[in-house]
Amino acid sequence: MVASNNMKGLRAFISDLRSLEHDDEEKRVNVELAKIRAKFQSSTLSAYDRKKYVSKLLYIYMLGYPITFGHMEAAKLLSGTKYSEKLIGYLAVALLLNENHELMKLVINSIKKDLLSHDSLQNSLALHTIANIGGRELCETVYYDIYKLLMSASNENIVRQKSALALLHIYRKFPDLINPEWFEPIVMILGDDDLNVSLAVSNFVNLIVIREPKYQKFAYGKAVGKLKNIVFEHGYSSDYLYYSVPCPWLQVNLCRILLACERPSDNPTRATLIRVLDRILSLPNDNSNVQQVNAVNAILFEAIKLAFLVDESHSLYEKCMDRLADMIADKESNIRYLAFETTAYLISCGHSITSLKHYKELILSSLRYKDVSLRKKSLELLYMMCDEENAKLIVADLLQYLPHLDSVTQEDLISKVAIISETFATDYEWYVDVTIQLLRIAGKSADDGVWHQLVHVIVNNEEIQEYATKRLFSLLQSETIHECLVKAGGYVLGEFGHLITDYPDSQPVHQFSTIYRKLNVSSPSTRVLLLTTLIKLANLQPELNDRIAKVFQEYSTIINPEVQQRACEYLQLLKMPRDFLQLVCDEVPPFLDGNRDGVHPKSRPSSKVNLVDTYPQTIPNVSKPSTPIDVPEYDISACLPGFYRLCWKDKGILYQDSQIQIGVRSEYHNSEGAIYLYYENRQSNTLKSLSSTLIRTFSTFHLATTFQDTNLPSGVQLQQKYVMSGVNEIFEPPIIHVSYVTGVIRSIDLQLPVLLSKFMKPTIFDSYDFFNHWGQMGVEREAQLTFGLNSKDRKLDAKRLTKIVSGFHWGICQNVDSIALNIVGAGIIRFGTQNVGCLLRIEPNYEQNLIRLSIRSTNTSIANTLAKEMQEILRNSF
Amino acid sequence: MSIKFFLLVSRQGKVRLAKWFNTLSIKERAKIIRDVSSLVITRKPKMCNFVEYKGEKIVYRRYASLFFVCGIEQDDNELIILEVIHKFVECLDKYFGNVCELDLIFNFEKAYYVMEELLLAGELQESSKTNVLSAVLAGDAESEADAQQDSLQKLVGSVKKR
Repeated sequence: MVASNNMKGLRAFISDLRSLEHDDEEKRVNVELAKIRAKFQSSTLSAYDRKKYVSKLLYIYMLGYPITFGHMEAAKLLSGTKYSEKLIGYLAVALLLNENHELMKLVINSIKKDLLSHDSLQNSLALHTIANIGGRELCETVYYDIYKLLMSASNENIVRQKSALALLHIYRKFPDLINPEWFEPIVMILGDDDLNVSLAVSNFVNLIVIREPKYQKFAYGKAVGKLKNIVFEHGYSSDYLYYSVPCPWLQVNLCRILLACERPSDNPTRATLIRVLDRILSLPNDNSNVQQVNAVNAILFEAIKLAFLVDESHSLYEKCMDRLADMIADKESNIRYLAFETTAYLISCGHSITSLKHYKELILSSLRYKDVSLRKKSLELLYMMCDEENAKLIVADLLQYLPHLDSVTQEDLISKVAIISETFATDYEWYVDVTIQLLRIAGKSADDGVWHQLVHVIVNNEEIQEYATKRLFSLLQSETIHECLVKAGGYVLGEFGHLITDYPDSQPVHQFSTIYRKLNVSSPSTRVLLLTTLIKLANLQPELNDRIAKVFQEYSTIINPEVQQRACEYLQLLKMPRDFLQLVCDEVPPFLDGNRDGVHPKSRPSSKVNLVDTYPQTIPNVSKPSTPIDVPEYDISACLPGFYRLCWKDKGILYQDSQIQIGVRSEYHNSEGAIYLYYENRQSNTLKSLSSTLIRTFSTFHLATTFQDTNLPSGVQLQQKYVMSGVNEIFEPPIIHVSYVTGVIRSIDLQLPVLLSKFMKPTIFDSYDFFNHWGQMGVEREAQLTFGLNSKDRKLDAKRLTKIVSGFHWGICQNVDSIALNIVGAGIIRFGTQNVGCLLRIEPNYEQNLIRLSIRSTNTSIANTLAKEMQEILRNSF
Repeated sequence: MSIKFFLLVSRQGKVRLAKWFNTLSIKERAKIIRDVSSLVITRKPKMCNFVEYKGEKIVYRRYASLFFVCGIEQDDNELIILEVIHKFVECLDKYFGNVCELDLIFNFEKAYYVMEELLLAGELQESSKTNVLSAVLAGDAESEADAQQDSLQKLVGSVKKR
């Protein structure tokens, strides 16, 4: 059946290599490379020989050796007249070149010629190359021809399906080449009689509905129709049965298209889809053939997700639960893995899967499997299954498994248990107990964030301080605990040791001796913390001063510089007057982000104390030192696209996901402004415990009105209003922390589009006045930045650029700059009690997609701030 | 859904076929091959066929001495990719007749061509039973015609020399 490879030299070469060890292989390869190089320099090289030698190069390339020559020969083969030459040429181009290779220019015309040929084999070779390594220049040359190939019914179906995927490649990489008017005809092809063409196009439609929501409704109807045709009407020949499953790839793709679309409003389509899903969910799957089982289950997993999305009346709920239950209990590990993953996905979308909680034991037992993939998925599912009712039970079970896990799974489990225990803590004692248990069992695998967060919670919640101090002190008295518990215990004892001095065995002298014993056996970083504990103890228990001073003396000669420095400084502190010591060692204030709704495993409570000058004569002038607090970094990445857009538009969506949408509307009148936030529930369940907290702000930014009810039913919108009463300082955009419960607690940080430039009053100057002011302000007050765009595929657009500049509240001054492309602007900001003039000059370079931005102002800080703001927004707005 | 790469790796970690559906530098490709090979070769038969790798997923299956490995996105459908792998193996098996590793070594360019007829832009383009083989065999027929023409020209040349 196989046409024999006619290149005897190639086969002999491969045989030679296979009989050699690595070093000899390398020698043989180098000998052959030298021979081939010499052959390629010969002007009498025949096409047959070129084909043979290029094939040898390809084999050498596959072995992993770098190929530094021969690319031109590949290009010549590609341009040849014989199919067998083209075949090797195209393969070589695909393997040896990439889309950026300079030789691609040479072969573009040949590829186009083959594309337009009437030979479907040549069409195929060209389309393969375009779809695999098509770069900008090649795609620009051929995109329209490919579209015509796809749309022409007279072309062979094999060419049409390849055209669809080549066009998809172009749409992925260079979407501007694809005419939006093509989308509807492409979606129409979903209904094509040839299922291969439908399959190819379905991949394209999937991306269209994600990028172009306005085509979703049309695509939805087509996809439902095609799915119905396959499932009910047997719209396929036996050619398309894969182990008795009709065209599983197309069914999966159609379901995924529907999952990517908004739920349809027209009921007939939805009713049809529900019938189709009912049929799919009813398919028997007790076959022993693994291919059939996999194909059916591949469709089932998509259908289950889709059923939850579309079936509001829950008529399919029982069937979905039954199928998921069967798959969670399946013997086949692939099925179990995917059942865990799908169930976790459904929970994360806010769906209730109460009946599956009976399988908790089974899921837990998967934590013991040797398969790391399965362990990870079972842990993720247990994490998602937690709610107020079962959190304590699940955590208790997870803690039982913790000692038996490998270190990677331990790390994962620890971070999840830490989040669960904080999220669902109804009393802090349980949270403290769980965290301590985590650290006792697997302190080595725990991230520092775990004990930091424990300290954080204790410091911020007065009611738990005595209990936690007692528990941690008890642990400190035992011989072998992990250092992270020593650190946590040391910190807490230093702050709150006084709360437990009335208990037997917890008196100050016991606290001291316990710390001292730990001090002697700890690592330097722990010693540093424990020395701080002792200075705090000295402050609260003056009768221990002499003993503590001796410890500091002992450690002031230790080799480690960090430890030594602390000991020396603390020793000096003990010699200061008592009220000074009290001032330095005062109790730390609560951490700023103590909000229980926020989970910050990476929080770092500080154990440092600001040490002041030790010279006696400065005592009367020393102000109270503030304890440094490491504020955790906000994660505002989810809202940045909305933020960038809203920085120059008055209204729009700041953040959107499958559950919640937060819109923003801004109003500014000279130096005052207001910003309205609209919270909307996008799913069928109610969002509970909705809260929105300002976590970064500035002095004139205030909450004016907010919603009262913390429940957000489906389709309902809640409003919040902030006002800005002028501006008197340089500020960062405010950040709010939004959280809500939908099965599990969710939270996001959102940056509000409030910029300094928004407080500018647009001003118009003519050329004379502008340059007069420009000269007066002078270059020394200028902020100038030159930058490109963040996305290399994007291009500067003059109209858009002007719109953005206006959106920043600059007044656009016409006919000012001698270069017409440049943009000149002016404005006045009332800053505190002063009017600050601001001038703008933008020099865009449309060929290079670069912008030079110059801002001058009577206040240099304002010029710098405005320039940085504009740079950040402009680089992300094209 | 989009397959990012498709690798055939032997039990010793040798690459028998490597197809990349996106643009990566040679160094990046070599690293992926090294990482992914060591990842799947050490897994036991009863373990599931999916592994996470750098925020993405590896779907793999072993046939005799070869591992067939695909890289996909985190939220793609793993089972359908598993069946893409199986379909590729079936095509190779029909084409070569009880395909073995040696067939792939000595006819590597044919294996690439079978893959091209099955996957394009990282997506399955053929789901019928016979079309992939039809396309490959049509290509073979064309190549055979070329070969015959070559032989004929050689014969003519040798006659002229007499």
